[in-house]
Amino acid sequence: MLEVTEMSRGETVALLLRRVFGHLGCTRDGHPYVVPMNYAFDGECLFFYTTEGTKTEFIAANREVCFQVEEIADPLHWRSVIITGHAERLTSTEDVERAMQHITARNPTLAPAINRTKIGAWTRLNHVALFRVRPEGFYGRKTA
Amino acid sequence: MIAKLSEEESFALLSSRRLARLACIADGEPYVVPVNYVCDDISIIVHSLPGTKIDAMRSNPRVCVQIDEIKDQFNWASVLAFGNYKEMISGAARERAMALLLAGFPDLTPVESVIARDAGAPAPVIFRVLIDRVTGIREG
Repeated sequence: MLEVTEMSRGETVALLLRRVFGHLGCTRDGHPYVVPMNYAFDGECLFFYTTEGTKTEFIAANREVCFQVEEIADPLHWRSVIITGHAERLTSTEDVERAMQHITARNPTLAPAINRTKIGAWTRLNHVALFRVRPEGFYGRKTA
Repeated sequence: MIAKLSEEESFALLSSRRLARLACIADGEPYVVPVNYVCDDISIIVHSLPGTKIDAMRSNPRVCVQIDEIKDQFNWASVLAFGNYKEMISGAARERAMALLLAGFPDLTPVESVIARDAGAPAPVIFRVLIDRVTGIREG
């Protein structure tokens, strides 16, 4: 029988730092919604960005989100982490720049290579919505 | 360029995969977990031990299931299936579902996992998500 154990807080944080891709869950009017999402975690907060659309509508209606990140080799060897918290939309130029720089640093192929003075203009032009989640809960499970 | 998948293409991708993320609502909050599944024409079939997601779906049966096939950042597809949780408690349908699961995951026993600190092994739950809407997008 497959044995599954709880991950420590340190292990969940380490996994979040290693990865740059996960799944964002949100809800509206009793309906759940889950989409794949690139992210960057700085050890304290998780940042992600998306364009205006269904996801931003869900989050505008209910800021409570769940972010799930996994490392799966096969059905018998895996670990999976969930964080929960409120998604906070970043609007100030300073916050947007800092978040974009962090995302670009973690995953250079993700965002265009743009210098810091252009980031604010680029995100506005592309209708990009940047979010920050300060996790309230960390949960992780792994196979033994 | 991101393009929509037809319902047929979306179902085909859903049928070809074995790993999904299941989103439900637990105590009013979103909850996302990876699940292994098999697919028939109208639903995905999953087995699980009792726990947070089973409690959540018994309370609110609305479910969103997401699967993806990612080659690289510019070549990927993602499918969302929306539906309702239906527990398979007994009978021929449950036996068929169990047979499908065992065929799909020969390495797994019906009791797939236990949280190590729990005493004893509770009975596994077999459930399906009866799909009423499916959408998909792809790039590349």
